[in-house]
Amino acid sequence: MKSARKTVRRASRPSGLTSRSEVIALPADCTLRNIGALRDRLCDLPADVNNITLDLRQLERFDTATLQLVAAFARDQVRRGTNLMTCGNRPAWDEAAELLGLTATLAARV
Amino acid sequence: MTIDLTQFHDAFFDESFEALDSMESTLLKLDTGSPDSESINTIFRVAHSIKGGAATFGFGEITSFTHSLETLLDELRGNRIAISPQICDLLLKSVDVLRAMLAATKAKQPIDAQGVADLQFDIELVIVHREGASAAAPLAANSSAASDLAAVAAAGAEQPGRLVEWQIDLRPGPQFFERGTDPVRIFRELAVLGNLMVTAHLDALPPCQDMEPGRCYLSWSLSLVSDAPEAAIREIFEWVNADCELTFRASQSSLPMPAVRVPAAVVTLPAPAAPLPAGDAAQPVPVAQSSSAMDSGSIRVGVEKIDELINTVGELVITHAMLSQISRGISGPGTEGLRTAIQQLERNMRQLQESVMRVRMLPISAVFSRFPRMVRDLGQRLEKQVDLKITGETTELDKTVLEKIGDPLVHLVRNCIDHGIESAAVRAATGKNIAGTIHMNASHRGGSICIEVSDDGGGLDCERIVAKARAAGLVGADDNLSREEIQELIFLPGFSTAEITTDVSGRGVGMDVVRRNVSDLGGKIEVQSERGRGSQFLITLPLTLAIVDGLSVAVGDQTYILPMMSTIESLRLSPTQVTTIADGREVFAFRDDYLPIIRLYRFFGLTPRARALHDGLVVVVEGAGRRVGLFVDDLLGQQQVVIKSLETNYGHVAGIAAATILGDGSVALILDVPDLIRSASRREAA
Amino acid sequence: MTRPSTDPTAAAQGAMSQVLTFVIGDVTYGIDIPCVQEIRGWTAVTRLPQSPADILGVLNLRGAIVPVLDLRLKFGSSNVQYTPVTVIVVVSVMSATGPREFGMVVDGVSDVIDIAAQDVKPAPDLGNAASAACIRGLATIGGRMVVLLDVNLLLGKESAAAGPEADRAA
Repeated sequence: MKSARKTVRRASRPSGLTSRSEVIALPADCTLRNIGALRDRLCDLPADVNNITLDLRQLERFDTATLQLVAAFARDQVRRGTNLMTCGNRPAWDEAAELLGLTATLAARV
Repeated sequence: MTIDLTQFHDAFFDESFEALDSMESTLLKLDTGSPDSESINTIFRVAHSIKGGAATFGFGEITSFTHSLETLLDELRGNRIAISPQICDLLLKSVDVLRAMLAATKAKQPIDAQGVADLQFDIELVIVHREGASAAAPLAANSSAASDLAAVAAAGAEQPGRLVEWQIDLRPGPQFFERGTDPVRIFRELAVLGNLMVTAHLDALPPCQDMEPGRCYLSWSLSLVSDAPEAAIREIFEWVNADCELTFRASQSSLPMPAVRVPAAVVTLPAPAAPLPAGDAAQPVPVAQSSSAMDSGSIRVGVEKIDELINTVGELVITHAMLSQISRGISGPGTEGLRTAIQQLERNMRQLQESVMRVRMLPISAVFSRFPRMVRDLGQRLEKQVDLKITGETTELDKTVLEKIGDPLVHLVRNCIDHGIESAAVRAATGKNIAGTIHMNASHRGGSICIEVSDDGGGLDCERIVAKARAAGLVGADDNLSREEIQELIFLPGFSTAEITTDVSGRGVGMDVVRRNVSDLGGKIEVQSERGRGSQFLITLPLTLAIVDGLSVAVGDQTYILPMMSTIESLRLSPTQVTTIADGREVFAFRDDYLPIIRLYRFFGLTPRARALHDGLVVVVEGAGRRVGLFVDDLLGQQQVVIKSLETNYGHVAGIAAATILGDGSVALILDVPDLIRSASRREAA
Repeated sequence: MTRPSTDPTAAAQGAMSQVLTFVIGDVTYGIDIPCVQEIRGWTAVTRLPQSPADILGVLNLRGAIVPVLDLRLKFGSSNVQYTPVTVIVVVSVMSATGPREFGMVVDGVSDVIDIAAQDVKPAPDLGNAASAACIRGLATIGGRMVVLLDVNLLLGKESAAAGPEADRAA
């Protein structure tokens, strides 16, 4: 964990003059069977985006695979120096994050 | 040592399907207002035994699903979740999903993972949201709730109450998720047992774009401080699929503990889904042990073995017929003794035949049991209140007939709900009980089975049927039809009276298909209906498809068998009773009706012994909803014949249902009366 | 036999095959021995209504109902008689639904002969004769020509399953 944090610092770019934001709404169903589509959606971001909001308001169904993917994404973005936020978390999402020990990784939220 | 478990698969599937049937019927009988604990226990046992079997065979998805289901049932059993109609629905849906999973697994087809996951999610939602464990604070379960639950989990174990800190490491393999285990569910259950701390290890987690969807990269270290007995904790991991490494460690922590009963040792669980311990190799499987069928001293036998037995008995019947024919042709000393022996043989043979046939007979409840559920669902969908009354469900009939009668019955019952039973408003307006009633009854009548499906709905609307039939050109504008004839019209292809095509009755499948299905089984269907009072459909089926009670008739040098079920009576006509109508068709008066005559020798292209109607006999037969007179040379007698397929070596022949072998070894054809009537009228029309 | 008969390529290249020969009129026909179930004398058959003229009916063969095809009628003989010396050759063929048995009426059975694969010559174009479609080839044995038939094609479409609806006898 600690070494990962170090990497973050090294890789982070000066977030400067241009600011580009993107909101990614997670669809209602993000369980294992749809995880590929969600991954593609998350990876398909322009390189210059530096503010990302994950909109979880529509999300109804998810599982550990969903949280794993979002955790990887969140970690990647933190490494890149992107601001990542989530909005519309439901208790079930937070509960699952807590149970899986991923709260810290997913921490940023509105 | 490994044993081949696949040999037990079929038993597992059979038992599971049966268990699900019983679970479903118990659910349907469940009074959500005051559920009795025995019913819940029954349902719980079903889920539990399926889970056990599935885990033994490594059917991970079934194991995982039944585990969730079992958790819910356990909550119900402990009155921690109240049984509501919604929960009942959830459980019924679980029955469907389990059936589908089992069927798919049996057929080695992929499981509808999404459907399963959706339902499992719903089930877990219910579990999570139960009273006393709010989703907001699942980890910090307060001590009293936690110890309550722990006590439950530990039910039957030794004294609980000693706090132990458990260190659990879970290192899933790549396919952990895909095999149906979702760690969040396991952790949620652990959290219920005590104070849970979870640390996730993300070091194996690749960058997002390099992730394989569905693969598991995470691993976890858990610390659980709990007073639950070891077994309760292990039980949670019992059904985790084999694609993981799991270590347990009980450690003496700074917590106040007088003594640790469990020695601190690293216990690496063997893969839970692995085969049975070697020593138990000869034990079938848990499912088989829990089977009540086993207890009552029954055995499972492959249908093909029974069919072989039936075939052999069929041959015996023919051999006996030959013997008795030969004995009639001889004379001399000892002949009398021979005949007595042959008579004795006949008695024994009939007994044997009956016993063998009974092996194939199953109670119709196997089919009827589908209906409470269907009626309930359909009633809800159409917003009609429908009560289903089932009687005579212990009536037994041949397995093949049983398998094939389901669809026609489903269609009939659907029709009754969709078209028969009126809406509550209409029923109230006509002074009827708001809830409609459908009655299904089965009974033996003579050598056949009667299945009745009746409703107390609106009955058939004769005027609308006639209007519809005229519009469709099924009857002429001037045809004057009796009520029976009008009611028969609903069985014509392309006939449907539904004003609105509902998604229930749909298009395309009509009563004609029901009639064809029934007549393919050698049976017949009739309808009786009274406007405003309801309709009654009566299906008559042969007891078995292997033997038919037949009337043998002679036409020229050929012998034909008429199934007794189709024959009404035979009579000798005098020339004055017959009228030849314009196009050369002959009709005769029979019980207030005029029936056409089919001269069988013409139909079959034979040279008859009797051409004049008064020289031969007319057999009145019924089929395809019509009666006709079949003109034959003579009646030879009534006998049971063994049905032999013509299609094995040849093909279907119009007007012929099958063949049989007579006492002299020659072949006689068994007539297919409905088909014969249809082909004859087609031919006349042409 | 000098080569292993189980090797199909060897069989195609030159192994001997055993053929049952029979006569219809003055032509000798042959069919592969392995598909022959039994040879039996004529017994009356039960007529099948609305079947093609060459399907005589069905008979009881050890408890199974087996159709009987008069090969003489199929191949266009007009003068057919059924006498105690008329013979039914029962054969078994594979169909989509499994093995099927049927009987063929011929004037008489002659012999079982060995034919080398290389002695089988392709049949000349016989036009539309009913027999043409069923011929596997021709072979000359001892100066006598034998028409080799493919039994799988004998109970073809025109005679078998589709028969009943084909036309109306009488």
